Amino acid sequence: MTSIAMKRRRATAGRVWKEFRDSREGMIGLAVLAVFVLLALAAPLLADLRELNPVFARAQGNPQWGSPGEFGPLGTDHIRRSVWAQFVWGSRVSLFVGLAATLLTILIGSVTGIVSGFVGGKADGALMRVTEWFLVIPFLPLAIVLASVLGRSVWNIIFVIGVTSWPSTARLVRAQVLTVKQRLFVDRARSLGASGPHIVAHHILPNVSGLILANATLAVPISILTETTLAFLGLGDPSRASWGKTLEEAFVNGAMVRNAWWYFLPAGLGILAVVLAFTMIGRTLEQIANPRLSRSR
Amino acid sequence: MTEPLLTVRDLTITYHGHGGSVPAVRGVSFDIEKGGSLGLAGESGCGKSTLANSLLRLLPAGTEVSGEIILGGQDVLSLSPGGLRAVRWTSGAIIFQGALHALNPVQTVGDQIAEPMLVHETTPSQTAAGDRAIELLRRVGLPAARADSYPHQLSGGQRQRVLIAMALACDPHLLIADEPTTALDLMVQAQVLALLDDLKQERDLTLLFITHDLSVLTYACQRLAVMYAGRIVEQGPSWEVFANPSHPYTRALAAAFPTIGDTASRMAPSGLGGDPPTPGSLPEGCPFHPRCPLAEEGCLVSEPELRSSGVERSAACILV
Repeated sequence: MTSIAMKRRRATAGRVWKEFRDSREGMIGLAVLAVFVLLALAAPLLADLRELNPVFARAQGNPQWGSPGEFGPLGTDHIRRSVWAQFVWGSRVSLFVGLAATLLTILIGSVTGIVSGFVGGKADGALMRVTEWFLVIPFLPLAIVLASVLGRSVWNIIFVIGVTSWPSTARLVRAQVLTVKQRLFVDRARSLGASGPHIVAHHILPNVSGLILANATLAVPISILTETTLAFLGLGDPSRASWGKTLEEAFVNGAMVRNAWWYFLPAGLGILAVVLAFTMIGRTLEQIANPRLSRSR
Repeated sequence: MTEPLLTVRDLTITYHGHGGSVPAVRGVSFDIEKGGSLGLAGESGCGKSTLANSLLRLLPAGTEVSGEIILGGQDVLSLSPGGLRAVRWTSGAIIFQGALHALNPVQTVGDQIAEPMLVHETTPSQTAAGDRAIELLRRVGLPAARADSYPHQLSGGQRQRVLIAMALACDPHLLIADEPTTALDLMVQAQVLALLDDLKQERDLTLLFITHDLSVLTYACQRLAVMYAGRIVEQGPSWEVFANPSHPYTRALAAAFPTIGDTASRMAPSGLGGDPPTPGSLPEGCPFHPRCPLAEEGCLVSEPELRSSGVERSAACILV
């Protein structure tokens, strides 16, 4: 049974991969993402972490506002730190926050959506009112308040993004669960004596997992952008470089006025590329999971 | 007559919807003895499927069910949720209509046949359940390799065989077949009926067979019950009821089938005009009187009870 199950899982994975390979959009996204994941993983090899310390940078004799011509490969900022080091180490934080916050979003959203859709009745009503409550709260003020109350750290940023962005996932999953629940095979499972948890695990979840996965890949870029926004507003982790923080410091210290394009451009383009890559992968997965979209491709 | 496996007494089922109460089944009583078979016939909307689902308490929450259902000595209507889950599929299993929709599209059919065994832990291990699923597949005439197929890779007849294999997984005493051949073409229908007949002999199954097709029932069942507007209007040994109906409604149903060899009846099968009454607003008196060719004034007075119309036969009509 386990061997059959593994074989089947491999077969399904193979089919999804084959369809994915046929999509140029998905493959470009995957290639771009691979580059940035490698960059983040290889950060210690590509740039010295000490380059982020202004004291170390001054001791090294780095120039202030050094252009890429003066100090390779991407110049220096107002306190002589290497922009390349900020870019490389910042990719770690941006990707990590994006993925971790998405995980939290999807977890809360899926559990709420499945319980709400499957149990129905009063539980559904109560959970959906809570969801709507979170949905109508203006996001940015809440995020700012939470981030400033909880303090400035990467984990708090992840928490803030997680608790504010799950409602749309919950509603999407609930809607899908409601349609799957109406299918005859769920009645059949109930008639053969299956319990609620068994039906959710064996019949509901496998039929909504494609949607959840596609939704997750689309939630990653939103999380990354939110992290950037919060960091740009000065609510980021002060002890760690992130792309959003680089943008904020460049803006506050007048890089735009000085025409120091090397300071803000790498982080900006990095965010653009990663967000675009995730969106392209997410759209492709969504098309594979939802045959109605793939026909119109 | 041996001891009945299934006893239904005064079963009344009322759906409560936004538009008021709808009585779908109104005071139905019948027995099926161990190893026996009962065919339940009637038009769409007469309460057949509601009745079938009520036997394992599968009706939507909020449905009012009264009366008595005794299945294998247990009072189904008073079972606790846990006891009910234990009874489902081990005492009585259902073969659903619409084989495509009754199978999960993202699970192999082998896993789905094994599912009831895992739920009820009737086999020692998952491997044993998988082996038995393959054995059951072979028994219903599909190759073992089909266990790894997904439902969409099978034809309609094959899917129906899978559902039959699944129904047998926990060796149930009662098999409820809810229109198992409705969506199949005639050749496949004949194969499925022959398979059900074989299995019934082989495993001493008790069968409750539901369909609108009277000729299928006379082939598959010893006894026949005809339902109209939520009540049984005629019952008896199936061949006798089909060949010599007492109730005008049964007569109309039986006459709707063309006689083989008789060209006149094939070209113009006699049907029955009008539609069955809406369960929410039944006509006064006998609910069949607006469509009945023999209706007279007495039919408007009260709804007739079942009365004897021959040896082991009864019909609910004042003309009997």
